[in-house]
Amino acid sequence: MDGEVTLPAPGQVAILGAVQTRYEAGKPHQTYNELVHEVVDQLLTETGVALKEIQSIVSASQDFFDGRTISGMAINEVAGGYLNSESKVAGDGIQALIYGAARILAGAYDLTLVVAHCKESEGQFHQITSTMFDPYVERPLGLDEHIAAALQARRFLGVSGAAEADLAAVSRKNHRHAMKNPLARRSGDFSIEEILASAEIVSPLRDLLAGPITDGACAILLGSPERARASRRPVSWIAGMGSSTDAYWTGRDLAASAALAQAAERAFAAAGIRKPLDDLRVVELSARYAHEELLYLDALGLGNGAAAKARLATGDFDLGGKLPVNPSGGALTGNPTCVAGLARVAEIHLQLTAAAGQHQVKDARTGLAHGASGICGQSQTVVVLRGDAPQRT
Amino acid sequence: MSESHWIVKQKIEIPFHYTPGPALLRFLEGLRDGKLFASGVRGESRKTVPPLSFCGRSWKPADDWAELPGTGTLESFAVVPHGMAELPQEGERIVFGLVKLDGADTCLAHLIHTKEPGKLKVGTKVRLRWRAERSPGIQAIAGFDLL
Repeated sequence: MDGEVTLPAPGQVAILGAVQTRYEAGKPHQTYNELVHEVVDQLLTETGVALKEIQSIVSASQDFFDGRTISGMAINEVAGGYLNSESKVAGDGIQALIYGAARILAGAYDLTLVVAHCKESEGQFHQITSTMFDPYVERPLGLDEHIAAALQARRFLGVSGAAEADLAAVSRKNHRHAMKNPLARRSGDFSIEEILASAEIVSPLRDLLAGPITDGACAILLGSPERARASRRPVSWIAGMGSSTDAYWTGRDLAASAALAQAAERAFAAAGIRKPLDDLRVVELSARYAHEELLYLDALGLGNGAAAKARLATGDFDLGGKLPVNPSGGALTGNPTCVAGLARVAEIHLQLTAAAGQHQVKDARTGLAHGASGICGQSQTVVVLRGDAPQRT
Repeated sequence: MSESHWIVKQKIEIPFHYTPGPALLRFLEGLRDGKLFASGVRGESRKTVPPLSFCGRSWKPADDWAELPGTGTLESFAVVPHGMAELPQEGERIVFGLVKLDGADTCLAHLIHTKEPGKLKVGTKVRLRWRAERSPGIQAIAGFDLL
């Protein structure tokens, strides 16, 4: 196929551990490098790996949110990067994970630390996200991420036939899931009416249909098969990875995601997944906005012929349903930019190693983690993970 | 002394002067003259606005120019509530639209002028309105009116 990349065979890169901070509206008592230190220190403790054993680090952050360019400089030491090889991705943390996996697949390193951080609370969301847009014809209008997301949401509603109540149903499900996740930023048993009456951001977006401003960090330790065999804790395996980037947001139909369909096709082919709805047991999607979850589920084919909203209504995507989607609560309940995609991988790892606690999905052996970046999800990444053995709750 | 006293407040202001390439220059000069230009590859039907110098798909120069009529279809719209401090508000609520211009295959984001944003629908036909007073760049366009 045109643009096909060579994909790793299953089981070549393992996830040895995954740690997230609590997600909060603000973390005024920690600098961002202290957030990174918190997750890396806990990761070393949990995995029993010594700092000096890690020689490869890939980080993910956004300079505009950090208020500093080459902000990787400031986290180098707390990420174990002193006199080691550290490289930074100015995109979602799941892309950093793919680079980290490539470092191991290349045989260059047997361990790679992947870490993402962001303190959205310190900057100004409108001004920072407006700098994503074309400076000649778009930025003078005052566009920002919320406005673009609202345009995508309206397009999706208009084309798919979904109603605002369907978006509210996504929000209701995820905020209920988040009640079982002690790290979640926002949770609650909100009714559809409450969600549709929450404060308007940019119509049709409302407060409870969009992920709030959040601070947090996530770290994951990747290892070679040898490292995985030596691990004292359960590991999960990267079974397939796929990435694809679509046209700029004004050059495609925002109601669909051809890039996600292609990224999934690549990841599924590598992981041997033929019927995603049957073969996957848990899904974590990077959907900061409620409409994105339905749009992405449709692009992944998880509606299985029907629109995802129909399956949502039957409870299939609930914790305890046929295929739980965002049992952690997901990005809609609060994960910052850059961290959201890596947090999805962390959550799937917890599920596959039976370490997800109250939001554990029963018998989770295969899961999908998804990341997105760019205006209206221009760039899409899918990682399929497998557990070592059947897990019980 | 409270902890908040120690919060370091800064504002980063970096002036940029973005220079247009040849395709964008022609587009901007067109706006100045009240004309809307798109470009595409000779022999291909796809046209983009704002125009590009080359096509990233066929890898050929996009030097086939077309003047667009200024009508189009509302692909989507978003209504900004009153009080969104960062945006100028002149009485009525601001409505952003994505307009698929007739004769082009990409959308242009701009303002939609309507007194009743609640009645807008995806697929509504719109027409470009030029600003009465001469304004540089994309501000030469006042927005789109409903047809």
